[in-house]
Amino acid sequence: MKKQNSLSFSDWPALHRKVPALHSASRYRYGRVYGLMVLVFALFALAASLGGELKTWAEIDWLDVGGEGLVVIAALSWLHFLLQWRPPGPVTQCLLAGFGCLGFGFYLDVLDEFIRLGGAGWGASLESVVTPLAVLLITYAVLALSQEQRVLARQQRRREAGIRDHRDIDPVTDLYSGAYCRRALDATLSNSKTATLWLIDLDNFSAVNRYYGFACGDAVLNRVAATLVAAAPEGALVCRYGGDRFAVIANNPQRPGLQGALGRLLSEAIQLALYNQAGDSFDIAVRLAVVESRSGENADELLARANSNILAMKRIDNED
Amino acid sequence: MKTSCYLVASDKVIPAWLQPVAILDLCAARGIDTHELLLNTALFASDLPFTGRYISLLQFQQLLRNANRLWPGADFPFQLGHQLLHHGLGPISALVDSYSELPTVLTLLCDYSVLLSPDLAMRLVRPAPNEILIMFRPSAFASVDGLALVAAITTLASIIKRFSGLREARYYFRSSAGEHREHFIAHLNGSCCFSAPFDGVRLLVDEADKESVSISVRSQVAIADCEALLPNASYLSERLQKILASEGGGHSDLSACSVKLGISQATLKRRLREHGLSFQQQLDQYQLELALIELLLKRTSVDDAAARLNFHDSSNFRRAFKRWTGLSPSLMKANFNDLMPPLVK
Repeated sequence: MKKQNSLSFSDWPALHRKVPALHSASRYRYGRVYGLMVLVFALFALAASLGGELKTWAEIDWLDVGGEGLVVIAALSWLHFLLQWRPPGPVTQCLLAGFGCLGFGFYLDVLDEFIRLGGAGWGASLESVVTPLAVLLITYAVLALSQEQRVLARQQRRREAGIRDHRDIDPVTDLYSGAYCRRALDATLSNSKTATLWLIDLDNFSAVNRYYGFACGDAVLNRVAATLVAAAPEGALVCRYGGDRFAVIANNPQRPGLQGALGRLLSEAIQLALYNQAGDSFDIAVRLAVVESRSGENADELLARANSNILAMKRIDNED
Repeated sequence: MKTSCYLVASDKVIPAWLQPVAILDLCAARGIDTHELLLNTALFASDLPFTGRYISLLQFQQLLRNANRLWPGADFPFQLGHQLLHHGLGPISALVDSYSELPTVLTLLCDYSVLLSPDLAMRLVRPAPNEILIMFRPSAFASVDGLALVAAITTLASIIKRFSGLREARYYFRSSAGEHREHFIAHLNGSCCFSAPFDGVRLLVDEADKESVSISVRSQVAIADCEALLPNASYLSERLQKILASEGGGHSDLSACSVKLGISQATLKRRLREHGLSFQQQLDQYQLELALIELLLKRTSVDDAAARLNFHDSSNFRRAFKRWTGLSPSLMKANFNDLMPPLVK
């Protein structure tokens, strides 16, 4: 089963428990990185104490030791969080190298308080090389990070609009939720004044969950989501409105024939997903309401109009 | 089980083999650990399927909270509602299946609302032959447990959907929906009003729908099964509401009610306090319900409504109404069209 990242009914404290950690295979081996750091730190302390001149007890400024020690710990904790959170890759390696060097540079500062490194000749110059190098590495990594984020945003195309809020991502389909859809629609309407909203409703979907279980139901919803993302026009946003209802916010007006084509496409996708999951076929009607915004209409009114269209369709179908 | 004429929240009266097992099944289908789910509920996985065991309302609410906490996503109460119609309500499902007229089924559901959700009481009003209003109120505590209410309303919505005579359904919630509004709209299949002065459902049905006179054998069996499952008393708050209703409300006081319940005033006060209630709050709840029905459904004038509720004069009524809802009765009536627009025919 899929790991989840969403929150239950007003259960905020559960946030960090429900966000899954990275898959263990995709994590760095902590031991190796930490081992290397400890080895370098120890070797350097040894070399410095042999080559340099130890300060007397009275010469040590303990305030400096405390402050600089704290900075070392901070740099090392950043390194630790990087190891925990980021999947491996060139950007992560660059960040690791940067924070590693930064930690080492700060460590040299601390060491300087106990051992007069200048006496060894190379100690003081090393310190003024390592920290700037670290800063350069981190700067480069941050630039790469921003590029990475832009590419990831492209990967998210038609699944995300403007705002990013991971708490609103639906765990089953990885689409944004209905609340996000409402906010995005509000933003679209206040910027461009017009929007076309498709609301897609799968009829009798709870029967799938009941007959075949949630695993099958989730797979079908996931397939519908993927099909909608593929079928939505450029620049559109696809959301899971709630339950078995999906919403697409498109910028361009409706083309004739959309209703029929999308209905057929989704029915096929559902049948295929059901056949793959359960080896069975099950009749699920797809209803599509397409509404275009009127002038001065807000997101809530537009959504209410689309929802009442769906309800009206259901009522007509029930009477037949 | 106690022999007193009312129940308290810690009395073990909820059949554990019905709704609790349905919750367990639902969560098992989502891969949730049963042991974690049963924490603090006095139920143990080794005792499954709990046949013949009863749990208290407090334990049931704990189970709901556990399930909601462990459930991935925000739609637990809705999924529970869908599930309950098929499994978990016991004879209620058979009862629903055995009738073809929606009003009859809804009237029966009001009688057996404890089986639909243990802390829920429902009041059915028919202001017109083609209109039905069901109001929900808590039967044990000061407010209905949100999860139980949403599950019960979702079940009710699926029941309503099965009947052909339905024209339109509109759902009212006291709470503001916040971030979960879309779940309500998608799962309930009807329009939803939030921050309303009451929790309830308003339905427009075909006028031809007459309550059936003859009862089939299947229905008789289902009704007998429901009767057998009912606890032998109601929760204290529910008992009080019944007493207030039988006395016409306005004239009741604490001493009269404690006499009817056969307990001392001090005990009644203490029992109410244990459930986070007070006598005044119970009286307010009873009168507010009546006032809303008069003002919003029957469209009575404010003066007439004050008279029907046994208020000395209408300014007293206005003051009381403002205390209950934060709105004056005339303002509530003015908002009437926003809140309860005439249903589409």
